[in-house]
Amino acid sequence: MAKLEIRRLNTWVAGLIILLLAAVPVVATAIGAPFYIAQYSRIMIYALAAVGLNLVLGFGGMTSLGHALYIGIGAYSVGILEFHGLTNGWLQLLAALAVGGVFALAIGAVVVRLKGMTFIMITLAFAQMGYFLAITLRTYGGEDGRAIGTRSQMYLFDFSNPIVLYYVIFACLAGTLWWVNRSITSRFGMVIRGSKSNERRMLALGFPTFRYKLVAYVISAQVCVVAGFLLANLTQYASPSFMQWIVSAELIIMVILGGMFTVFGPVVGALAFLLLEEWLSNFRSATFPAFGELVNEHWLAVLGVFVIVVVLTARNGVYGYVCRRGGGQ
Amino acid sequence: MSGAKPILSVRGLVKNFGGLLATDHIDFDLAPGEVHAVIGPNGAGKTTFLSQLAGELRPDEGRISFGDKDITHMPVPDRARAGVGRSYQISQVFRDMTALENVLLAVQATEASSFSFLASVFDDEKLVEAARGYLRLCGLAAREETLVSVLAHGEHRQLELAMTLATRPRVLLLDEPMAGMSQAESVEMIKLLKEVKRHYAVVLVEHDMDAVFSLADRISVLVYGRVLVTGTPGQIRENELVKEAYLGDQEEE
Amino acid sequence: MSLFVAQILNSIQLGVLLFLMSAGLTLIFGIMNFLNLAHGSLFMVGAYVGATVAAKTGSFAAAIAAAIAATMLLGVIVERTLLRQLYARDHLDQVLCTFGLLLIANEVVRYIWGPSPLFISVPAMLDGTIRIFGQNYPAYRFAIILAGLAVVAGLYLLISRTRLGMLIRAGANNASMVSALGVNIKFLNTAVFALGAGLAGLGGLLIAPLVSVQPGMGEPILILTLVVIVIGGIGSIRGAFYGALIVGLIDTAARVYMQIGLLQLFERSVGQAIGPAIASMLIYILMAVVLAFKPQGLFPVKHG
Repeated sequence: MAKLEIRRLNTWVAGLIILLLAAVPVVATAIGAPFYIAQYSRIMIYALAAVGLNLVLGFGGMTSLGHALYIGIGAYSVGILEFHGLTNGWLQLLAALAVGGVFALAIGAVVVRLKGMTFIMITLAFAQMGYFLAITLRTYGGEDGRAIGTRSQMYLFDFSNPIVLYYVIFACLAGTLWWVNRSITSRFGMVIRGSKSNERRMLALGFPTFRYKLVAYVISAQVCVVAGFLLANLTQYASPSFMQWIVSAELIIMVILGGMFTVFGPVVGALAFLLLEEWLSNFRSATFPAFGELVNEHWLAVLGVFVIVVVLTARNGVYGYVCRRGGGQ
Repeated sequence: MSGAKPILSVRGLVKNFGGLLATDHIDFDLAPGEVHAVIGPNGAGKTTFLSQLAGELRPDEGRISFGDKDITHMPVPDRARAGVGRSYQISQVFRDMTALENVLLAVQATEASSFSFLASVFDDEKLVEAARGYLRLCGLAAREETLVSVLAHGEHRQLELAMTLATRPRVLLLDEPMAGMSQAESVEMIKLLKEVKRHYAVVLVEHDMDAVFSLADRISVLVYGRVLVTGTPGQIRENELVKEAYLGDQEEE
Repeated sequence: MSLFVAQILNSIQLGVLLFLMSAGLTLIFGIMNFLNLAHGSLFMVGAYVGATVAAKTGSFAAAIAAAIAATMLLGVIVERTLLRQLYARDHLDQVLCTFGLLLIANEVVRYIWGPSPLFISVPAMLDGTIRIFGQNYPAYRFAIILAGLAVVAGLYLLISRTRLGMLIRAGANNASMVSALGVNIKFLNTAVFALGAGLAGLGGLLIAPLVSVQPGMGEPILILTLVVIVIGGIGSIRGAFYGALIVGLIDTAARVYMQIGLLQLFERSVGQAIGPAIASMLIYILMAVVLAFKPQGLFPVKHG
């Protein structure tokens, strides 16, 4: 098992990345390539989901293979309500958090008690349940999902303006990062970290660990709900594919890739993963065109190899490595 | 001490593992302020007994009373909050955190709620000072910022005790606090426990006879899950049955 | 009545298939403490290899042999090279690596056979119906049931009568003890994995004539298999057996009857809307209920 140290948001790498992300719309508009705004909006949304997942995965020590379910709940809250003419974004968000909260409490109450393998498998199974449920909702598009005609009306922000949407996503990500960073040294954060480190001792000290772990699970789920809400607005689509367990697995990969014992790691992981995905699926080679074809046709296999290599070698993730080199704790 | 109502009282405790009767109808009392040691040869069931007192094991029969409360089936965290503090034979600490963070968590456990999400525990002077106090008491003041995984074995034992004390229990269940310590470390630990024992009632499970005879007010000898005899250190030292059962085992080692 | 018989038989058929998948996987979970997400890929490989051999040779029997041999061989190779490194790792690493294998397997299959579904026809001998309890039922489906029951019997004999079976039972009960007793634990692990792989491959081949053989076909069955194992109890073959039957029943018969029931209770449009929704959730609700009361599963292995 990798070294268990919690890193704080304190290296210049994190700051630099945040600055660069903040500058994307400016640069993209300047060079006349606005699609970057959408691309990095999507990356930030998944980064947000990954940061949420890391609350339970890295800090809580609970491997959830089912967090994509909550992305789906966020997205479908927009999709379903819009279908019925309700485009008030705040109400949609409220509904999303309410539904997400109920599911997270119900599922969390069952799974948080479980250990190891069973926990992982159950979270996977529940996420699949959500996926199949969405497929059966034929009114809302069934297996294909549905296109969302009108974006959420937020009244304060105009989501149909890509730059505005970008900065809202950026603010959500930054805000969540700030909160996670603070909470690590909060009483709640200490309990979660202690429960991961030695739950037996936590109980013997007098902490009813179950309720704290449940709350952590619910919070991390709600972060993914918000990510889903934003995703539906970005893509103007709500689809069952948002909830496939492969998405959950990809979120875990992002966290691991970036560094699961750090606050900022998941952001780095999301960037690395999605940019890699982009690069591989568009791979061309002038010298070996057949090879290029092979790679971009079957880039998932390359990804598979990459994941295996990362797990076997770079367990602390890219950002974790940077923190070590940077002379952090 | 006799005549005072026991702070911890055990009647007819039975624990059966498959066919093995690990705890065989034990009766046990702990008076307020006393150190009642439990000794016995290996395999006598001392740790099993302690685990039932702490709540990690549920007895098959019998009753455990803490003051006026029946705690036989009380879950571990509830028991801890009621005032039963336990230290482990193999240190149960948080290896990936600093010594201060370890004791801080223990102090935090006494707070009503830990649902505070933004304020840093390190800014909470009350908590930090209390934690520092326990570290100081157990000789770890200089190791405050050190990661526990780096600490020496003896320091783990000190931390183990500090954490148990930090939860401000009324009863201490100490499982071989001297385990694995060198002669010098043991002497220090005994001194510390002498200091500490004035404030608590203690059930002390130990193999180290120096510690037992210098700390205990009463000693119960456990053999094959039963209490062979209970008495003062003087009485136990002279008791023929004890010598036979227990010291005979020592000679084999 | 006819619907009832057909549904029960379909349930048993699905149950038998799930048993083939879950028997091996539960042993892998229980003995090696290894969470293998790539088990569905073995199922898929069995289907592909079998379909190809059946097409080339025209012999279904050859297809069965080929499917089992190929998956067992593949299982042994992967286990000895990659998976062995992961036994000591935590489950997260195992999940991620086997997920990587799953991705690779899907792409390799897509590369060799292309993305379009492959078809394999039901063997001529079984291409008809037979009469069961007064009903006509597809002969091939019934053959699957028989084959599955044969495997159950064979597995029972293997586990209870052979030395390997005894080692497996001991390993399921207390893996570290078996190792301490000097048994070649590496061999046992490989043997268990190969057994599971072969069973999965057989399952894939048996179901191939009834479904479309395509990349990713292993994933849905994998999820169901995980549910079976959780309900039955990790490491327990008996649990896999009963769990598979229960899940087979719920995912087939209960689905149909629930939808019929809902259509009768509610008006057509509502029934048609929520029927499939609730039916698809039934298994997961069952799983949650079982876990709430018996977190170790219904037939847990008693650990030494």
